[in-house]
This record gives sequence, structure tokens and C-alpha cells, in this order.
Amino acid sequence: MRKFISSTLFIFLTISSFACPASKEPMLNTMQNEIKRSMPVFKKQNPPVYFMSYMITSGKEYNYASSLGKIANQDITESAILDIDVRVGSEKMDNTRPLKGYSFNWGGQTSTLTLLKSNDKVLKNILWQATEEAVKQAQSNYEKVKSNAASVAKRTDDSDDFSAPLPKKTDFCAELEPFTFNEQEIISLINEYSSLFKGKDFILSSRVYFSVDDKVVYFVDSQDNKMKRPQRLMRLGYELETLNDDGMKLSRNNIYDFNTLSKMPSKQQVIKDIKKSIEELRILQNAPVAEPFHGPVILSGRAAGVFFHEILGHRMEGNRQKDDEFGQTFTGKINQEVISPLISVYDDPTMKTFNDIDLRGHYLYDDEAAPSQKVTLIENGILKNFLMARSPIKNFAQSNGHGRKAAGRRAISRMGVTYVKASKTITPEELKAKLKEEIKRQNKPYGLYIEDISGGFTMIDTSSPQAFKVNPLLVYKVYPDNRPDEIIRGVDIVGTPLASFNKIIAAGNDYQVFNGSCGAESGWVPVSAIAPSLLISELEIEKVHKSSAKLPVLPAPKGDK
Amino acid sequence: MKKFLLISICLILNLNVFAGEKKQKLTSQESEVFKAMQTEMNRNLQDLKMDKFARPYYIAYKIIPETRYLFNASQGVLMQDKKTYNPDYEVQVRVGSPKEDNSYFDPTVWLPKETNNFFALNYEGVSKFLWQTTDIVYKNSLAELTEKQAYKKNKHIAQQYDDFSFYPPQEHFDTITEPVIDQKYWQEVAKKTSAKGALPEFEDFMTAININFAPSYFLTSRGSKYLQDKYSINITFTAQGRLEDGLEFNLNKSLTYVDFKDVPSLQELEKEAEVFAKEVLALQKAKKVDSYIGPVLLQGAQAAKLMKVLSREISFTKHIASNNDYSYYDGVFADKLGLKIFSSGFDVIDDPLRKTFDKQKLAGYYEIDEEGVKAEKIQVIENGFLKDLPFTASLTKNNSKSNGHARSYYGYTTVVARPSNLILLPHKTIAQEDFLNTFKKFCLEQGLKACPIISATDGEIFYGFMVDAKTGAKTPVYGENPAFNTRSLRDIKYASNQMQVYNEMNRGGGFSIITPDLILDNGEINQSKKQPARKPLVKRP
Repeated sequence: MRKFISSTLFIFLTISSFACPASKEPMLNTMQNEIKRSMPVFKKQNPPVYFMSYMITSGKEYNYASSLGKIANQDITESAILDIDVRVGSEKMDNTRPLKGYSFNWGGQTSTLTLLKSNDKVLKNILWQATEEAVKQAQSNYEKVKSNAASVAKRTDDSDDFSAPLPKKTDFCAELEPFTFNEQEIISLINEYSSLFKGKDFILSSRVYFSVDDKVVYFVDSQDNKMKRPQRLMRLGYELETLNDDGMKLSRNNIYDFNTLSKMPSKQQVIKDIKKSIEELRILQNAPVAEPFHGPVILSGRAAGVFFHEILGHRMEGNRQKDDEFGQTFTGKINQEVISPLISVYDDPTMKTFNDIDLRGHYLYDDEAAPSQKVTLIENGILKNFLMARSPIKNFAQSNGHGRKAAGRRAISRMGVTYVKASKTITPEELKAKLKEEIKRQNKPYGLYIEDISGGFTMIDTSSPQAFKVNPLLVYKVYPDNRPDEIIRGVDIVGTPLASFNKIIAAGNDYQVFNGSCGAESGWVPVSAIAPSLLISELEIEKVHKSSAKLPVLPAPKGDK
Repeated sequence: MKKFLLISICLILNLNVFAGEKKQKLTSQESEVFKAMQTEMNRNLQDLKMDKFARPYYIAYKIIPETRYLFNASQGVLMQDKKTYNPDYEVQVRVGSPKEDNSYFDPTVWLPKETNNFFALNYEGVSKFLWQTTDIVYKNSLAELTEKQAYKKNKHIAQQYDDFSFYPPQEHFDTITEPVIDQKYWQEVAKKTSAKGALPEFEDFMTAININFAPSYFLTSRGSKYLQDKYSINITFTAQGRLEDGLEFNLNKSLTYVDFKDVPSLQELEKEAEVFAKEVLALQKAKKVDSYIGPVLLQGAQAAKLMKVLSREISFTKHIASNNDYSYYDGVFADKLGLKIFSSGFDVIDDPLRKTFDKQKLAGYYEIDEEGVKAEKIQVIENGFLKDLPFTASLTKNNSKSNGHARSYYGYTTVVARPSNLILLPHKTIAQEDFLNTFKKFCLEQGLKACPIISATDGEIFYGFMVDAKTGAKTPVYGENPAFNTRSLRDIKYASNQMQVYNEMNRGGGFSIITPDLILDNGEINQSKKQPARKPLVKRP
């Protein structure tokens, strides 16, 4: 059973972009020259190498976390990772093809530590050494693929393993201004925020953190594509956790993503949010436990974004359409209505911001150097397209700029900025009124309003139920009469995709952004989801798994000295 | 039982110490951390009690705020620069009674996975963390005791020796001085030393520098307390390449220091890297060795590796053999007191109180062990006979009293009886400059034309030289790593007079071996079965 998990966020700011001048980019030159030098030799081997790419992800990560007014964790790492993608065989069949019984071929990509700064001689040597190893592995994998292909039934979709070269060669270089910041100021700031949790005995653990991921990706391949793509993601966040008497873990968190320090939220805002979260956690700890429920639900914009990402988005990824190990929920449904006609869904990584909020899933070129494109996945409920990397599927031969990966993995099709758009919207107040109408119509005692979601997962391979689970953090019971909404705890949303998406009956005009990190076979990549709040006529919730933990025997220690 | 608890609590609150060094003034942060530890310990000892179960009768806390630096370079160019800070901890809780308690049954109890080591090093941070962690460990310990008692009953295992014993409380306070790490300087060291191996003969030559600063705050409910300054600097050079027959090698040289004063200057380290590169170059011409039985010379770190066999086999825990005991290792010498386990003419001592050897600071130095017991020097081997073992406060047939050797150890989650500064003391030594001649002569006496020197190992392979017994000519060879065992300890024939310090530092604390080069009278050498890798398809740039 494979799961895709979303947590939360990040961004980047391109100061200038241009074609890559040879004189200014020695790292790219060395990488390119080494490919040019070695490919003629590798092509003559048996089995031959027909494609090769180098990617160096170089940069610095800063991570600071504070607890109860003092720095409690610090990790500052400057490193560079070299990934080599070697393809052996031919476009028709190569070493990357999943073997029968396995849904993803993990072999063939090697990853190694490399230089922080360009040094022609040493970099050449590292590339040479790592490439020899990568070729060896890829040739061995290709033999396995060949023997597997000969001994198993033909694939339903027998498309090539790799696409024809990109229609237009990529030659893209961008730069950011060097990143500087006052470390002590940041540490003082998060210490100040984390001191707000002092003396709160009911909170078992809490932390405030700040991180910066400041990187540059250098990419070249044997088809003359090259790029230098900077990426700067900043995050401020906090989390607090407690345990109920019955062993249920409860938490609140908040994350702010931005691409320049000037966009960091104000101190006033963060303090206000922390105080609100502390109060919410206090209420949650004493809140009644949710009972299994089936009925009308409003998902807030953020929650709806996660909902679409998990349940629909992953099923729109191209590589999942041709692998018989996957459920292929939507594979044969192009031009058919698959969800409520009220809804259209795009994935558009070219979007940098939405309502002045930086979008973490934005990029201009993907991790295979293909230009990112806005892809209309669903138009008025009708399926139109899939997210494509350079692995073709039936009727979709080319990448649409969605090949993504983390360092150390091979790119597959992934989401970037997923935009859920409703053709007709109403105000949040009208949406809530509509929920109450629906509760009455269905003769239910109450409905639910799901304000915040931590993430979720969906199972998409055929060996397990094609179901999903989403984990809400803050849920209110909404009564059809004038009783106030009531916070409940211990809720998980469960269901199957086709049944759930047809039940969207209204949408709000309150679009929200969820910035997160999505984990799948190609690693963790930054993503964004934009969605309005949605009224779904029927959703199922179940009780959450509870730990066997009990509250400590002794009361919390006194905070003073 | 009631009486015992009362006594135990009184002891905790009475901080008079019976031994130990003169107490130095603590900084305000150190006082704050200790105060949080003490307050939480008192509270837990007095009030932590679940219905129908007893309170803990012993608690120990250790807090280790650790800062690490890592610098990696390849052939003169920086590859990685990393700094991390993370607090670590250990919480020991004993329930039951010293006669029979929860110890040494489930090895995971004292490092519960339910906690994360994320806490602020201030009063509230330490208090809150210890409050929750003690609670989890206490609950786990109660379950462990019940399971242990049921298991013993099922297997008819009688309790013969007490699980724990008590000693006078100790105090020791180091002055903690956080080293100022000049990151630019260490980057230079990594770059410049790795540049020394940027040779066409090697496929890569790297330097990795790890600097750890990990002071320990320790407190037991029996009143022992220490603040230990601990840092280490490890510099490792790695050379990668191929022998002439195509066999790939990955050889390294590791230098560990526990005092910045002991770290050689940049120029000296460059020299070390250069010498190592030359040594590897000499080995690069190595041919497959012929199978061989006879005298073997163990050079440098290889002699220390043999002494590690002794260290491993005298380390043990008092545990009950069960399905849970996968994390425990009992050295085979744990029940061989009085037997001849080593060559005649050699003594071995283990001296945790020894701070330096030949002016170099030792990684194994400590004053108070992990059970709060004063460390003692022990005579492990006397003229080849096993005279004494490291002991903890958990009593066994041979162990009626701790000698202050309860120590944490990487991979173990409870304390282990293990050595600290293990020093080989030959009754007779041979001058280092005559050592090779002695080896040649000994080789000839055995009727052999040539004998091997083992100077490096790389996993399953050893590298070294066959020395012509008459001419002294050295032919580089490689073969299967002989992986010397307990039998080899009785085969040590000669020792040189040049003692070397080999420091190691790990999560559980440091360990030092002090030994000279050694000659074994009966080593067994086999050919390597490892096959050379495919030659590179593309010519090296």
C-alpha cells in the first residue's frame, strides 16, 4: 500500500532569467562537456546508454526551532547533491520501466555528494566516477526489465518509456540576489514566540521554527537541454500538542510561507495566531469525541485544497495511467464527466502568487528541464488531460512540464499549483445556510464544518482499496437550528474518489491557499492548492486511531524556578 | 519495602558527598539545568506511583546538549559544511527493589521511542521534558518488571544476585568551555588536506572533519552528580581507487582528539594527509597474497583493532537470555576470571581516571560512571591471566561490587560494563627501530622466506606487505581480512616500545586503546575472493 502524504509549505523569487552564457556558467559547462565526452562511448556499449542527465542541487538550508523561550534545535547545512539519470536500452523500453509486481523502478539513479563551488578538474572527476557507477547499475536494471518484459503479460498501455526530445530545447538560467539575514534576530524572534507557550501546563510539547531552503538546481542532459534554476523557500511555523485522558493526541499548528523576509508576517499577527491556537487546543482537549457520521459537510478552502490534492490530484498523474499496478481511476475517462459540473481543475505551476500569497508550488521549468504549463485537468466536471512528465502514455506523448523530484530520486509526473475553480460561487454565509438546508433535507441531526486539515493520504494501487483518508485538525458540528457551532475532536474523512466528487453541490467565493510538501515516489516536492470552500452533500467520517498513551501520572511541573 | 523507600528518599535529599573533587562554581545556566533535574527527580521519586504499583526506587538523568560540526572536502574543494545543535538525554528508572528490579530484560525501556529529544535547555524545558519522559520510562519499567518476573518463573530462573547495589554518592564538575569553532579555518583544513591526495593514481581523496561538543549533566537519586566537559575532533582521510589488478579500494585513516591542544597544526595535518596518500600509493601495487600461516606484524591501528577484541570480550551486561536480548552482548571473557586468556609477559590495565598518555588527552577518561559510582583503575590482565573485569552495580557471580565501569554504549540502551582507557603493558619491549628486524628474524626462525605486515583494512580486505626475511624487501599484498579473534590475544609474541593512543568517541562516551605495534606468532592469512570491478568505460578526465 502506497500513500501520498501532504504536510505543509514553501516559494521562490526569480530576479532575472536569461539563456545560459557559456562564460558565466562554468558548472553547467563542465557538466555538459562531460556528457559530450562520455556519451559516444556509452552509446556503443551493449546494452547502450541512449540518454543521460546530470542534476546538481546545491545550496544551504537553515533550520532553527525554539521551545519555551530558548533555541532547542539548529541545523545549518551547505551541501550539493549530484543526481545522474542514465537510460539504457531505447525510448521504447529502458531500465526505468517498472517490473511486474513493482509499481516503481527505484534503480538506475545514483546520487552522491558533490562540490559546493565549481572546480572544473574536481567536478569532472566526480562526474566521471559517479557516471561509471550509474551506467553499471542502469545496465544491470535494463537486463532485469528485458527479462521481466519477456515473461509477463503485455501491458494495457504499451507506450514508450521515454518521450521524444522536448519540442524546443531548454536553455534557461535564472539568478537570485544572494541571501543574507541576521541569525540572532531570527533566533530572538522565535524565542519570543515560543515563550508564549510558557506556563501552559496542558500543552505537552510546543515549538516555533524558522527555515530557509536556498538552493540552485543545475541541469544538463544529452539532448542539449540545460538550466540553472534557483529556489528560495522560507517558512515560519509553530505547533503545539497535547494528549486527552483517553489517549487521543491533539494538535494545532500554523505555517507561514514567504519568499522574502519582507513578507514575513508581522509580530502582532503571529502572536495573535499563537494565542488563538493555544485557546483552540484548550477547547479541543475538552471537546466531545466525534461519532462516525455520514452527511453534509463544508470543507474550508484550505481543507478543500488538500482534499482535491490527495484524492483527485494524485490520480491525474500521468505515470499512474499506464502502470497496471495502479487503480487507474480516470485513465479511460477522457472527455467524460468525472466530478460535479460545477468544478474545473487546473494545475498551473506558472502561477507565482494568489491574492498576494506566495505559491510554494510555482516553478518555470520542471526537473526534466521541460517548461511548466497550465494544464486543464477538468473543465466543468469533464476530464480533459493528465499531468505529464517525459514518460508518455496513450494519446499523451509529451511532457507538459510536471516532471518533478527531490534530490536523489527520478522525476515522475507530480502536481505544482493545483487550482480548483467553481463556475458559480456564493458567500460563506450563504454556503453555511445551504449546509443547514441540506442537513434538514437529509434529516440529519447536524452537519460538519471542517476548517483545518493537516494532510492525508490516498491509496492508488490495485492491491488495496482505492480509498482515501484525510486528517482534519479543527472540526465543528453545525446544527440546523440556531445552536452555536461546537468543536469536536477525533475526526478522519474517509471515502472513495468517484463517489465523493460527484457530491459537490455548492462553492464559496472565499478562495484559500494551502501551501505544503507532497511526498511520493519521486520524493518530497513543494506544492500549492487553491480552492474555494465547498459544500459536499455526503461525506463519511470515522473515528481517529488513538494511541495507548495515558496522560502523565503527575501533574505538569511548575514553570517557575 | 517501606523502610527502604524512606531511606532512599532521605539519601536523595541529603547532598553530602562522601568522595569526589572540589566543587567548582556552576554558571547560572548549569545551575538552572541541575535544579530542574533535581526538582523533577525529587518529585518523581516521591510522588510517581500508579495504583497497585510501587514508586521507582532509583532514577538517573543525563542531559547532553550536543553541537556538531561537519566539514567535507574532496581533492581540495569543499563539499559540505554542516552545523547542528540538538539536546540528547538518558533516563534510567528502576522499579521493584535492588534485590530484583526491571533492569536488563527489555533493552528499549530506558530510551523510549514515545519521546522526541526536543527541549530547551532551561528550567521549564528540562522540567517538562523529564516529567513526560520519566512518566513513560516508569510505565515501561513496570511492564518490564512484570514480564521479567513472569519469564523467570516460566523458565525456573532463580534470583541469585542483586540487580542493583549502592555506593557513596560522588560529585565532579568540569568547567565547561564551549569551543569557538572557526568554520573558515576548518574548511581550509578540509580543503588543504584533501588536496594532498589529488593525485592521478586515486579516483578520489577526501577529508571529513567531525567536531562534537557534548557536555553531560548527570544526576542520580542516590546523590551522585557530575558535569562533564566532552568534545572530540575526528579527522578522516579517505583514498579511493583501484589496485593494478582492478580491485577497487576505499582506505581511510582516522585521527581522533579530545582536546584542541592535541590537534596538529594545519601544516602538520597536511603532512599527515600526504604521508597517508603515500602509504596508500605504496599499497596500490598490491598483488593477491598467497595463503599463509605464521608470524604476522600488526602495524598501527591494526594492533589497536586486536586490542578491541579484548575490549569487546570483557564487556557484558547482567541480562536474562530471552527473546528481548538482541541488544545485549556478553563478552566471552565475562566468566573466565582467573584463566589465561592473553599471552604471557603482558599486563593490561583499564584506567578511567587517567586523563592523558604521553601528554595526549584520552577519550576514555571519566571520574564517575553512569550509575554514579566512582571510577576505579582495574588490572584486567596480569601476565596473561584475566585478573579483573569492568563491573557495574548490577551484581553477578563474579561481581560483588561495582568498580565504576557502568557506561553507556552506542547501540545499547542500558548501561554496559565496559572498559575506558585500555592500556597494554608488555613486560618486555623492542625498540621500534629494531622491530622490523625482530620480525624478520622471527620469520626466519619459523623457516619462512617472507612474512606479512598488516597495515590497513577495507571491509573484507586487508592490505600490507610481505617482508623478505633475509633482505627486508617489501612486496605489497592484499588478502582476506583475517578478523583476529580471542585466540589471537594468546598469540602476541612481541611488542614495540612505541605506545600509540587510539581514541574513539561515540554517543555513550569515549574509549581509548594504548598499544604499540605487535607481532603475532601464529596468524592465518587467506586469499581474497573479492573480484575486481569492471574497468571504467570512459577514460578518466
